[in-house]
Amino acid sequence: MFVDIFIDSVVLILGITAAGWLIGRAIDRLRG
Amino acid sequence: MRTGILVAVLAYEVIFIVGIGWWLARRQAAKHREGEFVLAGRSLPMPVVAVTLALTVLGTAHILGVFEMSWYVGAAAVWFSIAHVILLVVVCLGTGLWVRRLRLTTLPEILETLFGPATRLMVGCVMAGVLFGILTVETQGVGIILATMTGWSIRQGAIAGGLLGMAYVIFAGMKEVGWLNLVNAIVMYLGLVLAVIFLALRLPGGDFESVRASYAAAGEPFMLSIYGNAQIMQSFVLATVVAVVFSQAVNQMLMQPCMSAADERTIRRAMWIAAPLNGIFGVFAVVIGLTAKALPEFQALGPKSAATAMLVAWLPPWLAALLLASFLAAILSTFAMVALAPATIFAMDLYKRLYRPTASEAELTRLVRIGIVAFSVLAMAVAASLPPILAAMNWLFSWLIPVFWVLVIGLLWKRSSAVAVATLLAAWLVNSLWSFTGLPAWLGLSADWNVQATLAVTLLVALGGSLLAHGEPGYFRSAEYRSRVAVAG
Repeated sequence: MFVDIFIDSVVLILGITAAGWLIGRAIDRLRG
Repeated sequence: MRTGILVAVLAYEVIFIVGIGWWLARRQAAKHREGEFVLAGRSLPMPVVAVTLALTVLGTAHILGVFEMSWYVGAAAVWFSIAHVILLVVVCLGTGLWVRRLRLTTLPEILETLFGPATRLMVGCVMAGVLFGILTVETQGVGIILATMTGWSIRQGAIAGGLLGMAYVIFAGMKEVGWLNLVNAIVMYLGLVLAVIFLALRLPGGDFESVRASYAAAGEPFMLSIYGNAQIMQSFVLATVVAVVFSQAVNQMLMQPCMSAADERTIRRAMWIAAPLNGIFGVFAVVIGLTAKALPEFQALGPKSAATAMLVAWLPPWLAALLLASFLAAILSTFAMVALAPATIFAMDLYKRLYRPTASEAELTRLVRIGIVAFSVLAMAVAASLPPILAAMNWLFSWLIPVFWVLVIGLLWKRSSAVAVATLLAAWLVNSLWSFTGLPAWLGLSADWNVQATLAVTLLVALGGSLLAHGEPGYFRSAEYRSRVAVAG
């Protein structure tokens, strides 16, 4: 139970962080 | 009464809060004398910014709120932490960078620059109300911790907790609270990880399999998934993400470390540590909450007390004492901040600004003290009604949703004071009608959807109004901004 919740959460957390970082970079590039 | 643990917890509070606070204050004073004190901010390195961002927002809601909410929505309660991950991404890539670039000291400053003093005053008043609401939740938190150790009811604990909180504000002072929070949050985090390991070792088979089996047997396997079921995702998860992200992204507590960062790159890099550190905290809290509900002897205590009672009963006394002490310190420090802030707004922004511009420093200090006592006593009375913690927090956060959007639109797109005021009033009116009248039933929608309704009205008035109304271009596109950034270097 703990391992399942832990893995699901870590995947989601890292996914959100990486997506945010990519969006931030894309906006920076668009603005030059 | 668990006298040993109670004595250990109170000793931790006295030694840790009063002792370290006194030591830090002395150190600070010495630095002042030697002239080494550099402008506290604008120089913090990445690890300090990251850890401060992640841990300053860990309070009652992250601990007792998630314990309690996991009772109702299961593992999906972790979304309170995941909402903070999204929040930290928005802060580290958006609002946090902006406040650093503009060299702000407080957030309301920029509201006055964008929309004038009336908007600042309106937001100040509502913010004071929201802070008072959070104060009632923190009072309930102290009540739960005290009730766990003494055997009192939570209501009795909340009254004693309110008195303890007032004593904390008076004795501990406010200056060093940030650093105390940080050190305490590290103790709390490590304690929670150890608690999960010790709990697993006490369960049959030395792992959480028996907990999983008990939910499966009860026909509630969705309680073990962080995605819960469709109803939980639509109501609790959506409301939590919207309320946390769009209110806390303009929270002074989170803006402070960003304002103090060495540069913008430091804030961007801090995201990679801050977001996971805060997010993973919720996993441990959820597992403890789920375990307490699965064990009949603790289930009987109900959602507010089961988890803390289990920690006291099942953990080695040193760990239970350390954990409860760090919980209590975290709650008391938030109590202090949210008791002082509305009292300060009342004294400075209302009394001094509107009624007595010539008020002396001593008069204002006296008024702040009276305010702290008055707000704390009121909080004790409200806390006794014991609303569910996360539901109360989401409701309170929803009041700040229009503030976030008005600010973002004013910075990036268009500045119109009329649209800003209309957005704030419309959102607050709908939030009130949704919460206190039969409006949701009349519309055939859930009464729990006040966060979603507030967001919808905010976006409608703010975007529609900005599209139609005349206004100056967004602040980031103004000459004033360019000269400000050029001067700041």
